[in-house]
Amino acid sequence: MSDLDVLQRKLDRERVARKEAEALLEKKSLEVFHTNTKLQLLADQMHEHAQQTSAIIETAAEGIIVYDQEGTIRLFNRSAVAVFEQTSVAGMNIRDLFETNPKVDASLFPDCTNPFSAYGSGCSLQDNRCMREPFECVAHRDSGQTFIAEISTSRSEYGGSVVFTAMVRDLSRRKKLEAQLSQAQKMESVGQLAAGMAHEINTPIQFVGDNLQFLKGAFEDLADLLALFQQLLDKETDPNLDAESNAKTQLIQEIHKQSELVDFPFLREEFPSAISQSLEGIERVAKVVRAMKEFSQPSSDSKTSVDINRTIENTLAVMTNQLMESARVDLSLDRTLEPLVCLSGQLSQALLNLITNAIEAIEEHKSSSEGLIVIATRLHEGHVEIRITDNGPGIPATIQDRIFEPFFTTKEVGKGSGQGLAFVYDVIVNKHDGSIHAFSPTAGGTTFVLRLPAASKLKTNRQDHANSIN
Amino acid sequence: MKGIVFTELIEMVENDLGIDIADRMITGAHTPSGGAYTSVGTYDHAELIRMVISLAHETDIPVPDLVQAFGRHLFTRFHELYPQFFHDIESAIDFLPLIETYIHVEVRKLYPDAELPSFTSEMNEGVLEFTYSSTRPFADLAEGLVRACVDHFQDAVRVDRFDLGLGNGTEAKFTLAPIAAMEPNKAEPTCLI
Repeated sequence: MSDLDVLQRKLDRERVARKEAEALLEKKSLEVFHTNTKLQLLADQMHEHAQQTSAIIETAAEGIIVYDQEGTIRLFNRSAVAVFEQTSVAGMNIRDLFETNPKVDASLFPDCTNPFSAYGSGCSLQDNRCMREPFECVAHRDSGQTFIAEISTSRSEYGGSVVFTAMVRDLSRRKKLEAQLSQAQKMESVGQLAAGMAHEINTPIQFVGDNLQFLKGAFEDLADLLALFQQLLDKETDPNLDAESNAKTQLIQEIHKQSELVDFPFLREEFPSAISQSLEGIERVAKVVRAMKEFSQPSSDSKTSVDINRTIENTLAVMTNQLMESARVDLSLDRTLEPLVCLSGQLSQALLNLITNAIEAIEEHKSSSEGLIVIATRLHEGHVEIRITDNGPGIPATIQDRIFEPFFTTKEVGKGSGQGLAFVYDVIVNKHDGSIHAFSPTAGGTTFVLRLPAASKLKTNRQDHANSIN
Repeated sequence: MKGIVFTELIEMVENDLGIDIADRMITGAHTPSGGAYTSVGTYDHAELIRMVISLAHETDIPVPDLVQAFGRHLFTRFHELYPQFFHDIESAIDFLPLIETYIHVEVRKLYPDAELPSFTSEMNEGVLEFTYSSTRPFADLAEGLVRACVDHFQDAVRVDRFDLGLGNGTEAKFTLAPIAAMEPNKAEPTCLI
């Protein structure tokens, strides 16, 4: 075999290989073309998607702010501009927008990977994103005006860098409406109680009036007698006494006659009683009016120190008529309890809602003679505990986990608004860092246990307030 | 199997044994491709085995020796063609584990359909245990690559091979143990003659 033959075969192989390589190149070129077409399509879709996302962000009702680990703001949507009245956020830090403290700072920068953070609780991992449950804090507008904002924050990682997103909602209007609603709800309750109140006031007024009528009649009789006594006195000082002795004797006889008519022993016995009853009646009226006045005070934004036992008694006082028709109330109040720092108006309303619920449960299922509501207070592990127990039918197991939901009611259409227990939950848990639990055994009856931080144990941390029902 | 392995085998034989032996190797192998390979193509590995057997027939050199020598040649070529994989690497013990975790990852990016052997690496008291596993019986090729790698980095290590599984060349473990006395490395010749 000659070298030429060998080279010829090698050339043939190289030619075949070259053609194969060319075919492969053509195939790959076609693949690249198709891939490019797909990529272009994908890029167009992504561009469109980005525009849609941008439009959604810009038109969202809530303020959306994106910032980095240092807090430098990267995105500030239109609603955020409106909420904060900021024309430019260039170079601004997220901390410039809020009244920060260590707790707010930790909430603005949630980190699920740091369980040891003093304020790290309240966040959880969802789809690999650390999400912080909504919290409220004071925010600043550009004008310097402050407002209450609700903020939800999340932490994400893109391309190795950490970014945070804050959804900001201006609560100014909602807070105002809530206050108005709360006041309206209270006034509605007051209105409902008015009839009972009228009865409460009418009864003592009735016997005070009767007593005064009696005193008036008695005094008229006494006035005649007093006039005779005056005449007798005048005769005593007369220099012509002897000449007038017959007239004097006659006057004395008349006094005797009038005394018998007046019935002195009866008056001596009845006068103190009538006066005492009248004073008692006036005191009863004063007490009801005082309780009503304290109960209907407008909600205050600031907490004050109150005697919780007195608050309970005031609430019961304005409900006396309702209670009288439905249930007996047993009180077991710890008189040594220290004052409670709270929003007294809202707490009164919450107690009224719970007692009203108890009355309605009893009325619906039992005769009035059997109705019993037990209210007890005590100090328990640094908390003031209030227990309200009724012997109604209890809460059905099927709705136990929903009773605190807003607008949830078992009453017929047009009767219940479903706001009562939701309001109680909001007041106890959200506004006082307390807890509320409902216990409803299968045998019947319901006990609501409210725990509020005692003044000496007030903490800023929110309680674990599981809405648990056993 | 990627065509580069075939083209490199033919080039090695042409360079070391001459164009005539290479021609006879190809002709005697009677492969479906007829010996026409392009480095970016993909071919049946059985064609490589046929060519090596044919070469053994032509040269009277045992197949394992031929395949190991080819492995050494391939390592040298890979070093020339893909220097980026060797950047900042100073020893075979550092390089070999990267074949699975880095080089094969990069190869799959370019050739998603590539059927690559797997290599596992484990360090035990300073000894690297490097295990080859494949559906193809090329443990000898792996041995040639490993030994050429050690020679390249001039590591003072002793390489031992332990056949695993059925002992048919589809599975083998290589240990790279440091030589205590730090003797000069005895490199094997890479050429066939």
